[in-house]
Formats: sequence, C-alpha cells, structure tokens
Amino acid sequence: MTPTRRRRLLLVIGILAGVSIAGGLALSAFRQNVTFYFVPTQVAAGKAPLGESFRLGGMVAKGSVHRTPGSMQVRFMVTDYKHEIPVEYSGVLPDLFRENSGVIVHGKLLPDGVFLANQVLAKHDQYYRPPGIHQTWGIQHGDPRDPALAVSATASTAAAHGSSTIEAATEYAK
Amino acid sequence: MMRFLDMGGYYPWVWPAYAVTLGVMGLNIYWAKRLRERARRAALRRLQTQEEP
Amino acid sequence: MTWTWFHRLASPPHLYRTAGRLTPWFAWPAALLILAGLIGGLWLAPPDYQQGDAYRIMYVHAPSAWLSLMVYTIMAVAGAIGLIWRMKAAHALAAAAAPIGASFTLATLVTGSLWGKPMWGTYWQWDPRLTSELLLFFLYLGYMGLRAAFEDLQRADRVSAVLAVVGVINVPIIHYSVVWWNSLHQGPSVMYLGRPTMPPSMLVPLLLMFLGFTLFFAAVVLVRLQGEVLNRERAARWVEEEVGA
Repeated sequence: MTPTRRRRLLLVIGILAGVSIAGGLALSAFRQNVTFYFVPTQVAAGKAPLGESFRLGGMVAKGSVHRTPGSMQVRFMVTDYKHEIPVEYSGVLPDLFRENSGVIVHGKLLPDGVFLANQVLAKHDQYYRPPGIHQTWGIQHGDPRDPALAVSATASTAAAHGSSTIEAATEYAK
Repeated sequence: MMRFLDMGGYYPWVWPAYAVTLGVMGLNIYWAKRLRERARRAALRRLQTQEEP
Repeated sequence: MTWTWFHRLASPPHLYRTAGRLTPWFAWPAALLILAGLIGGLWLAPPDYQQGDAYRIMYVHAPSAWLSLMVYTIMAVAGAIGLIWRMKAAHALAAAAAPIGASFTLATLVTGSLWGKPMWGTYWQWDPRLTSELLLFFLYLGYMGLRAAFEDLQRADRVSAVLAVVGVINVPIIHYSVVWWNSLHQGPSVMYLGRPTMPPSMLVPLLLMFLGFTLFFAAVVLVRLQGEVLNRERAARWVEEEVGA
C-alpha cells in the first residue's frame, strides 16, 4: 500500500472508530433511559414513572380475563411470572389478545394498584406453526421462555438477562 | 378460490402488502432500465459533440 | 493471491460488459424463486395457529427487511473501498444500490405497518425496531440527497461515501434492537437456522423468497451499475463500441 492509501485507510478506520464509540455511548445511554415498556417486576420495584403514563408489558395471565357483559369493559392480569398487575381497559382488543400471550398496555397506574389502560397492543413471538399441530419448532408459544417476556428488571447485560430468563423458565416449568 | 382471496378475513392487510412489495419490484426494474437508457443516450450525445469540432 | 480480477473489475469497459452479461443469470432465477415463494407462501403454506393468514405478510416483509439491511451494508463497504483505493467502480456500485435499498426499506415499513395493524393493534409505535428502521430510510434518503446536491460526480461520490460508512452503525442496531431493548416487535425468526422457528412447509417458501429477493437486487443493481459506469465515462472509445453503432 502506498503512503497516501495507508493514510486514507487510517482516516476511514478513524472515522469508523469514532462513530462506533459515539454509537456505543449512545447505546448505553439508551439502554438505561429508553424503555419501550416496563414489566411488572420493574413496576413493583418502583422503576416505572408512576406519576405519568407508561407502557406495561408482559403476558396475559391464564384465566384472568373477565369481560363485563354488554360493554367493552375488560379486566385481566399482566404477569411476568414473578409479579402481577391488574389491568382495566375499555375498547377494542387486537385479534391476538389472548390468555398466556404477550401484551403491551399503555396507561396509568392508579393509587389502588390497578393499571388503567387506554391502549392495548398484542405482542406475538417469532414462532409459527399450523393450527392443531403440537410439535414445536423452537420454543413453544405461551411458554415463559417466550421472548415476549425476555426482559428482566435486574438484567444489566443482554447475555445475562438471556440466561436469567431461561433459568426463570426452568423454575417455572418444574 | 373465494377462501383464498379472503385470506381468513385478513385480505385488507395481506393483499395490499403483497401489492406494495411487487409494485416496488416493478418500479425498481423500470427505474433501472430508464437509468441505463438515459446514460446510454447521454454518452452518445457526448460522443457526437466531440466528433463535430 | 492475485488481484488481477479486482483490477479488471475496476476497468469501466470490463465492468460494463461483465454486468451486462451477468444480469440475466440473476434475473431469471430471481423471477422463478419469487414465483415459487409466492405460490408456497400464499397457497401451500398452512395458516399460523395464532395469526391465521395474516402471518403471510411475513413472506414479503422479512425479505424486504433483509434487503434493506444488506444493501446498506454493501453501500458502506463499497463506499469505504472507494474512499481508500479511489476506486470509481466501488462508488458507482454504492450509487447504484441506494435507490433499491431505499425502496425496499419503504416496502418494509409499509408491509410491517399492514401486518402490525391487525396483529398488534397499531400501524405504528415509536418502538426501537420500528424507529431504527425508519432512521435507515432517512439515511438512504440522506445519501441520495447528498449525491444529488453535488454537481461534481467525484465529490458526490466521496461525500456520500462518508455518510454511507458512518451510517452503517445503524445496521447492527436495527438487527439487535429486539434483543437489546423491550420491543413490540418479535425476535428474529430465520437468523437461527440451527433451530428454525417454524415447520418446513412455512420455512421453505420464506427461504425461497430471501434468495429470490437477493438475486433480484443483484440483477437490478447490475443494470443500474451499467448506467452509473457510463455516466462516469467521458468519451472513451469503448463507450462508442458499446452504445454507438
């Protein structure tokens, strides 16, 4: 390589390094501050902004969905299999809203501990299979290992939180 | 056939998604050919103007 | 290792002719694969046990998303090569790829939105995955806008290449956004071929589409590359041989 080319190569590497560092810093800031939703454990630990609206994510607890007949009113529990939060909502639910399935609700936590939602979004996973077939490809949907739940209030790194979720899952499976 | 077109009731989402994607593919083919054709014509024009003087 | 092939590729007439010769070899397999993927995805694959037929949007959404990331990465690598070795051919490739990548990024956003409404219950959320993909679209627009802003092709090449190289940081962010942060978007399905997340009847059409879209990009970028190479050539004799007559 000629000296000028070497210089240009170094320049490009320098730019890349600078941007990577800046990006890395931005990412770590992101990881601490920007959370699309909080899981019940985080809410229980007081990490969610309780005074204002926020998003709560988790699984719809099995057997917890109660509809008020003749209205759009629905009550259910959102769980991360460690903590549960009761949710109240009035409105149209997405097609994928089911028990034992991922959900993200937006709203406010009332003083009595009930989460009053103004929007309910369903979160599905990346596992697909035909109806009526129970052979699993990858991990079963609705399983606590479901990546819809692959969040942990205490996890500091993605790797650590991956393994802690699996541990929680095996605990739950017992 | 009607069942196929109905897409289990999800036809308002499934078919537009396919239409948009195939439309993007068609446009890509058209734009690519147009770019090459214009470049050819521009190159020809440059050659001709050079030959004149 | 000999670098002659690399230097020959950098020669405009050779590049122009090679691109022209290769195009059909990508275009026809792409057409066949996409056709097979369409039949497999829309007709042969069973509906999903949760999402019913709505999940079929995946067969156009996921390959579009793959192209949006792959094309930007190619632009960044080509841009870096162009900056370091002052290789016009690399800049031409990046310039040729940009509009294709931008259009498939838009397709990703639109098809994702059409999938999100019936399944999630929303067209759009400022979620990490969705936001970073939108940022990718703006990076493509910025790249093309920057190119258009310069009269001088060489300067346009260089300045836009810097943007392509710098912006590539967004590509891993998009891919890992669903792993690093809480997201409405589900995790990646096909990236782990070791443990596929769906049965073969659903997976095979998806893989056909991935391959088909990739070859489609190759065919289209080669046609655009021919145009870009011609635009960079000022009155060379080979141009007369190729386009004259």
